[in-house]
Amino acid sequence: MKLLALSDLHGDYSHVEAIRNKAGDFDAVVISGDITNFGPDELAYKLLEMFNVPIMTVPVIAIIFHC
Amino acid sequence: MKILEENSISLHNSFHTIGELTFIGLGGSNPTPFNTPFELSEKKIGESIGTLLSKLNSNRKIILVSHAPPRNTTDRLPGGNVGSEALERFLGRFDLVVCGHIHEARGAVQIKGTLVVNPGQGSKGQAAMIMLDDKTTVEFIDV
Repeated sequence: MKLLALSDLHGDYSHVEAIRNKAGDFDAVVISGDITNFGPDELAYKLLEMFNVPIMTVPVIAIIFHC
Repeated sequence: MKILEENSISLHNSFHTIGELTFIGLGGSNPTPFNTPFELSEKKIGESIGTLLSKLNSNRKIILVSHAPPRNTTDRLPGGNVGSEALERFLGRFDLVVCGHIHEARGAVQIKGTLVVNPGQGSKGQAAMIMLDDKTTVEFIDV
């Protein structure tokens, strides 16, 4: 199984498409935190929509604050 | 965060199995000097991970997804190592730890049979591809 590991995006997804393209085929994405930079929560949609494989995440300080 | 729960698999304090892999997760971080909103005590981290591990089928590979790294792994800052001491005690129980948090400590280290990977800052075009087969290998991605 191939996992694409991402972390500490802090709301800046400008490199994600290039990362995805360079990575080639993978079976799942693992995002180990700091997806946004203290919100907004809706920003996370943009990231999740960029992948069509299972995405596993953990909440972190930057987003749990907005729950 | 509701968006993540509805649109992805949120692993915080829970687990999810895909094929031969079981993913367990821990959000937040161990205590920091900055009193950030989602910090867990080392005691709580240890209890959470211990409880999760006790529920798992040991025949599968176990992958921990944690924002905070285990202490003395990919957690080095100029002033010292700042990872979680509780997570360090569980090294050897996971096949793989995928973490982040410490931007300065991108890399991969193997300790007690556990491979710890910090893929780096996604906001800077950094990521990692992890291939899990008989042997687990890591390739760092920079764009």
